[in-house]
This record gives sequence, C-alpha cells and structure tokens, in this order.
Amino acid sequence: MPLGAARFGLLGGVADLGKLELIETQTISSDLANFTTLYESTYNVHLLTLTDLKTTTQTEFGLRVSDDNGTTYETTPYQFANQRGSAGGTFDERKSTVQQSIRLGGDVTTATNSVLNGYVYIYNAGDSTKYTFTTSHITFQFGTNYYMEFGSGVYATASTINALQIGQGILGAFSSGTISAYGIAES
Amino acid sequence: MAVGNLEFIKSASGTTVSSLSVTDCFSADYDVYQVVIDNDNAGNNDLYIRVINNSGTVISTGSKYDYANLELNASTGFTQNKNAGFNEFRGIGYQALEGAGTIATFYNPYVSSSYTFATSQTASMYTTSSYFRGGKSIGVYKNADTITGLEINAPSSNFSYINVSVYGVK
Repeated sequence: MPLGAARFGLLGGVADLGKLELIETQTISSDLANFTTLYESTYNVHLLTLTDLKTTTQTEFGLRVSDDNGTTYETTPYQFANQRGSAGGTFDERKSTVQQSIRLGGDVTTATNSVLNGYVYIYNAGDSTKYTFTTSHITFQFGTNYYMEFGSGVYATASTINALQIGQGILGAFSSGTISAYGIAES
Repeated sequence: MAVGNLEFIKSASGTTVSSLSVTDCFSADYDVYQVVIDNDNAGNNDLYIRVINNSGTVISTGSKYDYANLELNASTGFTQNKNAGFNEFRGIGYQALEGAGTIATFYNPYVSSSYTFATSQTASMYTTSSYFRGGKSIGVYKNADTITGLEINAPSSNFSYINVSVYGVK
C-alpha cells in the first residue's frame, strides 16, 4: 500500500488505525545512508532495520541526526551506553558521553561474512521540546567471531530532528547494505 | 484491517500524576503487544509496572513478578537489577528529568492458561548533561490469568507527563 494512502488510514474503506509504515529503503554502495524524509510530525517513534551492512575497514556503525533536513548532521552532544557480547565468552561495556555519533555496534571487518544486522528505535524525533532517544539491538560477525550489541543513545538537544544518517566509524561511507526506515503510526 | 502489522489499540496519557492506568488494552485479538512509553519526571528511578486483570484488579500482592534488567550508564559502570517473587516489574522503563523512551513487548497477557512475559528496551536522560542511561529488561508475571491492562507508577515524584500507546502485533 502506498505510504500516502496508509497515512490517511484508508484501506478498503475501513479506518486502519496504527501500523508500521515503510518510509524508505536504501540500498547502499560505498556511501553513507541519509534519510532526509522522516515524516517526523506524523510519527513519534521510528524504526530502522539494518541488513547485511559491510564496512571498508574494521570499525563500528553509528548514527547521527540533523535538524536542517540533512544539510548538516550534528556532531554533538551525543551519549550512548551499549553492552557488547561475544559468543566466544567476553562481554564488555561500550559507552561515551563525548563521541560524535551514537554507536550502534561493531567491530565489523572486511572478512567475507563479516556483516551487521539489527534494528534501531528512535523516539521523539519530531518533538522540538524533547531530546531524541534511541534503543538498538545489533548482531554481527567480528571476523570469524560472533557478537551481539544492545544499548541506548541520546542526542541531548531539544529540537526537531528531520533527517538521520548511518555510517561506519565516526562517521563515513560504508561498503554496502540495506537500511529501511519505518514510522509507527498511532492514527 | 491490515494483516501482518502493528495495529494501534489505544493510548492513555496524564500530566502531573503519580500513576497511569491503561485499561482494556489487551484482548483475545492479539497474543503479542508493543507498548510505547514516553514520560518525563523530576525523579530518577525505575518505572514500577503492575498488571491489571479482567476484574479490574491491579495485582500488587502475591509475589508473582520476576524481573531482571541491565542498566547501561554512559558515564559509570553498568549494573544488574533483579528480583524473583516481587510485587511489580521494575526497570521495564525509567523515569527521567529530560525524558525517556521505552518500547516494551508483552506476550500472552490475555491467555488465561499462560504466564505473561515481557521484554523491553529503554533510553533516558536524568539531567541535561550528566546522566544518560539505557536499559534492557525481561520479566514474567507468574500467574495464569487474564490480563487486560497495565498500571505504570512513578515511585519518586509525579510524572510531568506520561503517554502510553499500545499496539497489537498481527
């Protein structure tokens, strides 16, 4: 169903209240993923799904926000706190109050099957009076070692966020992968 | 009605309240529910969440709740919080001065032959610059009865605002 029809709640003549609505899917090749249309006045919660993201070097993936429709992406103030765990036995804390992006997960390497998958929820993007929060859960191969990473982040400025950027490191183009952005509609 | 989707059931909200009840949000129509909690509060504490049965009773006795969560702090060490045989869920979401976002998933609340399970993830900011914390939580209400709603409590000071939206997973 087209997004427009979904947003106006028409499905076979029956009011269709609330659902997960696809905003956009991007298939990346040697680029950053920039989502410059979020319909942030419609959705209070967004969901990103990350599928088979590959890096150009050993590094993590992260997220930045924009309040000028993607003309610039903010480099501060972000905070995050993640728990990373390996099937090989080591669990550790990944956290920062000063990093210039919200960490999602890593390290991912350039090995053949070293890819990252997962999801990110984003809260309050369209509310100019609130901070924008994220929660995420990621699974990936760190070379031949299997890892998961879950956690939370914040862009600690009260503003309207109208674009999102996903990239590798802090924060650059990545090799490949698919990312979809959804809005959770209340009405 | 769409098939294979999230379907909005209801929302409830309050301002300057210590507690919010979301009634009649669970039914035979769905087995799994997504609950989005958006709140702001001058205190820095866990949300205390109790279930409401189909008689309208808030279950706050009987030691029927188990929960475990990991508190993820951006500026200090992470901590485990857990209890077995408690009288509420703690840590499914947080209070926070600068707001909090939570998504919790409840499984089988309306199925009278099944326990009610919960998983959640949350993010919150206590003060403007110094205290970001996230959380990952699991819980179970260990009584096989019919649950139709939730009561969400702020244990320290009132919510400045709280909004809860409930979706069925179809």
